Amino acid sequence: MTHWHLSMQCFTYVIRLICFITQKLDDIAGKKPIRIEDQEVRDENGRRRFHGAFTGGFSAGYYNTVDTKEGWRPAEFKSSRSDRQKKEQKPQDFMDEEDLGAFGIAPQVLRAKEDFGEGHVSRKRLRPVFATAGAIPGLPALHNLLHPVKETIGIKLLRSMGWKPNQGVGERLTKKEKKERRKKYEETRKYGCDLPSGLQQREIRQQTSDGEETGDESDDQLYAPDDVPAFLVKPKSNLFGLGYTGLMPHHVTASTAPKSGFVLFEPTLKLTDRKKKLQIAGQAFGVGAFENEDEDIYSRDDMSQYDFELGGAKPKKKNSNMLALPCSDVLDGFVRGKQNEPVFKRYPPPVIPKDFVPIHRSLHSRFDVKPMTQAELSGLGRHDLNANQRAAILNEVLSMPPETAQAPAPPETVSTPLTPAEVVAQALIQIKKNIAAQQEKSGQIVQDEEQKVKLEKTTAVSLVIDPDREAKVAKLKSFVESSRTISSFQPFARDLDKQYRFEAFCILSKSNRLAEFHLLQPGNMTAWEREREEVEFDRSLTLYRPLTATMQNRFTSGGHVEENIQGGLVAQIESFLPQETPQPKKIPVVKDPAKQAALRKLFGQLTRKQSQWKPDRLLCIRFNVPNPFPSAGDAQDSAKFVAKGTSGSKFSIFDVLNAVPQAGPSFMSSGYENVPSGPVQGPEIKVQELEWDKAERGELQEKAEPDLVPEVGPSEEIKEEVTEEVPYERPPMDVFRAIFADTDSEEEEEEEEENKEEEDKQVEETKKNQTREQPKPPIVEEMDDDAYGPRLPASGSIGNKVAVVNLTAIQDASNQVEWVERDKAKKKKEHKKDKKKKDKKKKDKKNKKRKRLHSDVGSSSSDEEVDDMKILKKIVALKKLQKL
Amino acid sequence: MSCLFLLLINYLNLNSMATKSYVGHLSKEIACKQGAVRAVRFNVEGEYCLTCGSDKSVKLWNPYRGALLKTYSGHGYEVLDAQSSCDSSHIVSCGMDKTIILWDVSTGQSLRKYRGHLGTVNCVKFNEDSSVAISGSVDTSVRCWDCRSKKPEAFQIMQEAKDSVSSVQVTDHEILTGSLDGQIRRYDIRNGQLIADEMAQPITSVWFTRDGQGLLVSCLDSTLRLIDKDTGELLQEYTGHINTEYKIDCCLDHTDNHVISGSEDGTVYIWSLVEGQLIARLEHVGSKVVHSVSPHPSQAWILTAAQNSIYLWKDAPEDEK
Repeated sequence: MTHWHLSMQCFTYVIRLICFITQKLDDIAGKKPIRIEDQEVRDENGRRRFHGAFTGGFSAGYYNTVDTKEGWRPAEFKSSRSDRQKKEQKPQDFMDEEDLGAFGIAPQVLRAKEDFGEGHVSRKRLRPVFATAGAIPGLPALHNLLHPVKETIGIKLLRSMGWKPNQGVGERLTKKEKKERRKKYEETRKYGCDLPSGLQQREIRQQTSDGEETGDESDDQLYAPDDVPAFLVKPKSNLFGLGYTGLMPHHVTASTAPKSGFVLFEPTLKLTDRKKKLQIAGQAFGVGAFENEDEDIYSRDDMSQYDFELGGAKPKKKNSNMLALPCSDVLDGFVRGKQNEPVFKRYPPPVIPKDFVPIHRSLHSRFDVKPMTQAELSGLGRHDLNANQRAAILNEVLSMPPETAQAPAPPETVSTPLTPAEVVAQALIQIKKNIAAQQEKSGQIVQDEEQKVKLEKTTAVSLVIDPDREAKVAKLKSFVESSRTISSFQPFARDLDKQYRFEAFCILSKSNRLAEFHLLQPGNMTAWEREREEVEFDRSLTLYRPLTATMQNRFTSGGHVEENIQGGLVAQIESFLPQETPQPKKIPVVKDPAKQAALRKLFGQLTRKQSQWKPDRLLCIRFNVPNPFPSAGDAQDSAKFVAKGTSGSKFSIFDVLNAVPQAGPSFMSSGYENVPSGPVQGPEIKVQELEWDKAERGELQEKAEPDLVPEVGPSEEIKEEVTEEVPYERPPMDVFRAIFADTDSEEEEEEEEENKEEEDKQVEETKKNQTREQPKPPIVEEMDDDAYGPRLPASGSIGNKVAVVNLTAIQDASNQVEWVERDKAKKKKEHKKDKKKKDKKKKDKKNKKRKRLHSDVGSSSSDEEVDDMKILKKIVALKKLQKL
Repeated sequence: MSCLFLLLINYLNLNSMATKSYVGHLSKEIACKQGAVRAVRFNVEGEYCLTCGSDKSVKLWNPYRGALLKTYSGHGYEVLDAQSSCDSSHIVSCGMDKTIILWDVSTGQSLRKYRGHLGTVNCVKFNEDSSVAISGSVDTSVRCWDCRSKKPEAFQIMQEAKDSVSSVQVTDHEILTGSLDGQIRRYDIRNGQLIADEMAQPITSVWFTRDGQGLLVSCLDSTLRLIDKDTGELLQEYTGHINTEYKIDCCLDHTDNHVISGSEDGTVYIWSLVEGQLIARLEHVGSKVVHSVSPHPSQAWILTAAQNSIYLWKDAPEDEK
């Protein structure tokens, strides 16, 4: 019993123990085994990396989207010319963070490289490979590609003995010994051709074992001997020199390939000399040195490759042919060309007839062949000049040695050596003569032609029978001859007849007698031809005209230049003269007294010329100098005005309006009260303008002073008279402005203020001058309160009014209007900035204001909109009136 | 005549005050490496200088150290003249590309490019406060360009010259131009007058005396003439140098005691103003024509340009200083 009990106890114990162990085991292993569903791969951010196939498989980026919460943003890259970014892009730039992690594509973990270890030899310590003689120069290609997987037992043994790759085997040597040995080796090894020096050097450097370069010459340091290439026993199988293997381009490809015209491979090797660096490209594999040539399995199968007979193949016929040919000079690998080189036939140049003249002249008819005139042949005498004369004209004399300049002088003056000046003078004389001769001849020709024409005309007349005609023609001709001048423009110089007719045409067109031109045309011309000629002339005339106009302001006037040339040329010639030759110094004939005085060194009053010059307003401002002509407009005002009137781009109706009063005074009479003394202005301004032109030596200022004081009394009378004459009233300027100008009312107001200020200023200025002046009361009466346009300065004192009149008397109407407008433009500019800020509401307000202003302004334009047509009509009418 | 007399006395006084004789010592030679140097100009203070090269560039130098500070490139053709502004913040240059360029000194960028001349622009000068650039051109016109506003065209054109305008000088109220038509024209802005003096010889260079009473005129007959500004009378003539072909600068030194001119024989000639005697010749070894001269504003130093180099001349050898 006890035994059983004990055994039972034991059993329970064991069971307990087992339970305990299992429990413990459970504790160790985790309470619940992780189910497969729970086994998820998450990244460091706790994001799930893998999904089921239906939910997208692999996840990347931000919840399977690209990159970030905000979406994909490319990396910033900025590079400008000044700040060049030299950063090279790496693949890592395009990778996610995960890719760089331990399990990514490019883990950034330090780990030993594959090729680091016992067995591997670093590139630096590679065993030297000696260039072997083969089809490919340089290192054997295979050697670089293939590495032994395992090192041989010999190398392992050597290594354990202390050998290192790239070293030779044997006793260690001192540097000296090593050098000697190397030298010896070099001497013994040499067979075949020498390598190029560069290669040789490199090879030697390769052979030197490591540590040697740094070591010094001391004897106690020992080095391992150099490695020696393994001696390969290679039977010689050819008759070439030792170590020679030829480069044969068709070595690899079958010999049949070129024959059949089918080249499978490109030539094995291409030696290209590109950028002075020898490049070897092409197929690197060939037939191994110890292998037999394979059958060319890629080339086309050809019946010729089969034997059809038993026994050895017979020597080919072709070969025998080749041998039979006497040309043993054909190199191996070359074939004699079958086609002969084409021989080009050469033709001798045509023989030029002796009487050929290299001048082209168009023929008018086959029957009317005129012989070349001497004038035509000689041209302007260029051909008569010799090289020296031409050189002299072109100022090249100085550069020429004097002997050559003198030697080929014209025969009649050979006896006396010519100075370059004389050469030039002669040349000039000759040219002049030629020109004169040509003119004379052409004159003769013209006369001849005239006679001819006359004859023709008489024949024509005999046909048409017009007795008046001849007389008319003669009359016309005399007229043309009388008014004919030698013009530089000769568009029809080739045909003298035509040129003459063209000149006549010009003259007639000037004197409005073009209708008679047909009389001058030869009778044998058809009506159509005549018409055409007229059109042609007309066109060339129009072409001719504007050219002079446009060129005129670019060149100085002819008279002055000619004078200059005379003096200048003489001076030039004098400068040619060699210093040795004593030459009486001529004082060139100069007409200008100032110049004469200057040449005589009489500087002072004789050489001085003073004239008035109007500096630009801006120039005075910039130089910080008071404007010497404050009342006068800018120097270029008049020019500007003209330009404004004519230029199409900025043409406005105001130009017309402004231009009108300039022409005549009567127009300004009434209703235009801001320019009150309109009628007086006309004549006065004219005087002033003339004076501007004439003005010299400051006379103007004295003259102009009294003019500034207007005689108001009579002016008023005139004004009244004129107002009576004018049948209708001109609408005030503001009406036009309101219609055509796009100004804002505010600006106008400001402008008015500006005007006021300006006028006040002038008032102050003039006040001082006018203190003695009698006040003129009638003006006050003249100024209506309803007057349009900018308001006048406050009419408190009488002096002010006088000043106003005075002001207007100084300035001509156009000028003032001009001034006002320009000022406005300035205002506009200033306001541009402010304008931008103003919102729409304000603009609306402005519009309303403007409307109000309009209604205020015009009694005649009380109905707010004035018909444009009406005004235009009025302008036309006014113009008509002015013409009257 | 009395005026002339006074002037002479004035000059004599000045001369007695400045007793130092003018003997040039070559202090520095700088090869500019910009082709032929067409002009060399000191700045207002005389610390730096500008050179205009035939390789379309303007260069800013420290001539004492020989250091190149900045290159201004942007011209389309040879640069013929340049000047720095009164505060040395801008440079104006002109050239054969018919344009005038206003440069910013520090950035080296062109601020304005003025086109309008019909031909090569020979010379350009700033006015006193550098707000206007005044240029003279082969097209016989003198044009004034506003440097303050952005106006692209010249606001005033003077077309009185009958031939190429070779030289321009500006004072506080005058513009002096010399032209190849043999006239010097003085535009007096204050009086609104143009005063033209006939020299009967093509004029290559003009210069104002410091007191503004005399005009130094260089003519193509190898003569420099000193003209009385008020009367137009000849005060003195300076000869000895050669100037028959080239546009050669002339100038007065900072004391107005010496007349300085380049020459076509590779030397710079220095005369005494009053006596008209040749005092010194500064030989430029190996060069044919010295065509540009610029005096230091406060020292007896000169900068000259010949061929592709500039030369700095001082009144005393370096080691003494």
